[in-house]
Amino acid sequence: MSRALRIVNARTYDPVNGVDGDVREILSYDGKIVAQLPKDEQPRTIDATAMVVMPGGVEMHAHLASMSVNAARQIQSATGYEQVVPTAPDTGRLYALLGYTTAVEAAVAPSAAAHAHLQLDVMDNIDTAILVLMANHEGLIDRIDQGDEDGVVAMIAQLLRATGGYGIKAVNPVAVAAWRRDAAKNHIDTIDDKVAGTKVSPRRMLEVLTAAQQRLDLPHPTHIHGPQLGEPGSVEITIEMIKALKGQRFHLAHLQYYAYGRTKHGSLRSEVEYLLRHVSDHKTVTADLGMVAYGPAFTATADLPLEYNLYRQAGSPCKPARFVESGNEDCFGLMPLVHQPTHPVHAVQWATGLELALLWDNPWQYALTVDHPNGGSFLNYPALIALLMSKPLRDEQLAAANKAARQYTGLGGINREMTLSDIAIITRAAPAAALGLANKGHLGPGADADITIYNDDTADPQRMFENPRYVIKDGHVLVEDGQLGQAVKGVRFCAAVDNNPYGALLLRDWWQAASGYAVDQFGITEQQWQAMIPVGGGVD
Amino acid sequence: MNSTKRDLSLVLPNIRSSGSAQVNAYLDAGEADFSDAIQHAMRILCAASAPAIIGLEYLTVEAVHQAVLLAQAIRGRLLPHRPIDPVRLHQAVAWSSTLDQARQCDVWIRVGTEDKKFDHVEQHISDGIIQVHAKRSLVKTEHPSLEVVLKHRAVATKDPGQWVRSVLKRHARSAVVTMAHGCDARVVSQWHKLAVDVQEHVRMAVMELPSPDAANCRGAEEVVAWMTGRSLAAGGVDFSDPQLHTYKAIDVAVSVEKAQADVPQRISIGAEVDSQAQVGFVTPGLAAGLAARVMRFDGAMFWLCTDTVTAAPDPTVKLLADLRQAIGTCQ
Repeated sequence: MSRALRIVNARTYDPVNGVDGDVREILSYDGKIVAQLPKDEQPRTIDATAMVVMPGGVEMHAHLASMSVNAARQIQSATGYEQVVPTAPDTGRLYALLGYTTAVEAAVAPSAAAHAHLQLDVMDNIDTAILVLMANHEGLIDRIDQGDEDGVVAMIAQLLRATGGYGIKAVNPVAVAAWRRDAAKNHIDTIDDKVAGTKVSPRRMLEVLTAAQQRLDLPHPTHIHGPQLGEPGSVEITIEMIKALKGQRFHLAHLQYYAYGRTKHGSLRSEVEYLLRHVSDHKTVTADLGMVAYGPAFTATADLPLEYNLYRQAGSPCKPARFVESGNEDCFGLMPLVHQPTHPVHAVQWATGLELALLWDNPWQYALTVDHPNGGSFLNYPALIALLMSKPLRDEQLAAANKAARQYTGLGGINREMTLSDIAIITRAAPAAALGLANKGHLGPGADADITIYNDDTADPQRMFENPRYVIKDGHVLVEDGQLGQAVKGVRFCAAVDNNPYGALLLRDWWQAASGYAVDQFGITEQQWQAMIPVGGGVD
Repeated sequence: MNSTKRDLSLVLPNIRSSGSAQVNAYLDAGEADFSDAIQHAMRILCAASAPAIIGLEYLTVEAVHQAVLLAQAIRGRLLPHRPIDPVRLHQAVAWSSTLDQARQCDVWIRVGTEDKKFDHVEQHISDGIIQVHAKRSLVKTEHPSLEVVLKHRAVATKDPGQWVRSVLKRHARSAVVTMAHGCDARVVSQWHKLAVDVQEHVRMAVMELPSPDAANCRGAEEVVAWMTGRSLAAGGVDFSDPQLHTYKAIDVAVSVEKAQADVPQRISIGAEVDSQAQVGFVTPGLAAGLAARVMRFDGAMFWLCTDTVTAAPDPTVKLLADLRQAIGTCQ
């Protein structure tokens, strides 16, 4: 098989390189986009007449390979609940069939990293990475409380190195730890709430994590799932947090859930415009949308207080909910959920996600996500893209939704319809840039030859984005005429962090005291790490 | 005891050393060439109408992965040896914890255990908890009846704070309830509900202890779930033709470690020769020293060796892969 590929007559959307629907020729050789093919090379040629070409899609926040989603698979199987979480091999296949070639698992507890990597090992067709949960790690909290800043950085470096992690994930910073110490304290009221018996607050934890990310030159900034997710009034603490981190690079996960004020009845009211005024002031901030799609979902989160409160509010004794507490790091909870257009909260969340995307005038700052499987399956992306591209379609669905969506969001008044270029930015260019993956999300020379070719069917964007005509991964034609061919092994990205002897010492001593088993059992092996692609720290 | 053996003792209490990481083959209990045995096994499996691989809990994580692929190739079933308990997965709610959390809690409530009957797992956990709790633990023992837990729930549902004050008798920050293996699923379920009831007053979790021979049950369940989306605990996995309208009795069993006497033909994989098996493969099984992994019942993953660079890989992985490759040549 030729190592060369030539795509001709391609109406190309490559926003990074300023290409906005121009007809281009795209060449790839040995898995990379090239300006010219080697002499005498006979490439396979794809005629993309009447087709649209974009870089391969980049999923920057999904739960694909954690212990919690694996528990969700077992519950789905045992209860006959709809299969929102696919198997690990199917996850890779389904992303490829959707035109996505890179996906990040957004929350892995350090001690569960080996488990996550085993799942990712059988997730072919996509390149992957994991973000490592750190904001409720008792070892880090101890170290921060002692004021040992060098120790904190060393321990974070070693946690990333030992787990093959790509970046730092902060879920409801210190809230899980605060609840661990005080059963009555299952809610963070301000970012200055302190963990009982310590000086560590959400503000302090985030300051430390973002400072460490800078010192370690991590490719992706601290990825923050903030406090008060989905609560009426969550916008205030979110803005407080954004102000506290002024000047730092950071990423706000599933921002839709933090765009809320409170109605006079105490329920959700969109405050997207208010939130965006603050986010837009901070050019170093990136976000992913965390939209909600109607239909089955599975809440799976390390935010144990949130999941507990959700379970209490949902009030149904029949839900197969699971909570797993860990003594020394982040834990998880999970529960199935069906988002219904007739449900006032779900309808407002659905509309607010769309409003957030449509009112944010800088698409380079955010990425399309559903926080799979929390806001629904990633398979909902084509339907959500269709809504972003069509005002009439939105109006039709808004009219059919619970009236709260019309009353408490501004969606009905938004006329903007996104273009294919906008979609290429929020599904490719922006998430790749936010992740620090310089070879993803564009089709310039040197980029990975991850390419998606759709039928030019803008009259029906959902159909267009559901059925890519071709998907090319590292120059291999993976999907042809909508059919998945021979699987391609993806690579695993990790942060380029050296082994840190001081961090290793701290981790060992802490682990020995906190855990019942040897630190040698923790994380991944050196051979596994060597097989990964390090990014950051000056390495691209 | 070195740290690896100590860690593994909660998964495999009588773990043995792998010795040489070799597979020896047998045909009708007589020594045979490995390739001949693979060919023979392949013919038996190809002719089977309802084959099954039984005993995944006695395989390493890496070997379970291969067993799933083999089961797909032979359109067979995947089953554990131990009885299936789907009720566990139907519990409305479960609040559990890792063993690390249990070791750090203030109060320990033991349900369904009398000291004389301690099995190795409970004994081991108890040692750990007692050691940690020497100065501050409060241990209660409760009878594993529905009546007892429902009485607790009656108080806790009405006034969880009162339940904490009256039952734990002091200010407790966190508690763990260990349920002895074999407790009635309804009782276990009620203790989990009780944990949810009192969560804002005491951080309580319920830990169901595994049976003494659970081996790598958790590892098998996890691998099967991520590979197939199915739950081993909810009834195993069946890759047979979905068009079949009758559920055939298993006619060929690839049985791991324990013989499956009620099946007409069998292929055995395990540390001992199965004299009744048509084809046998003697492997190290779940033995110390292999570069392969198992999982503890709470989700912790352990290597079977101390040095993954020098340790031999689990030969059962290659054996299962060879069998699958041979199946691919079946006409």
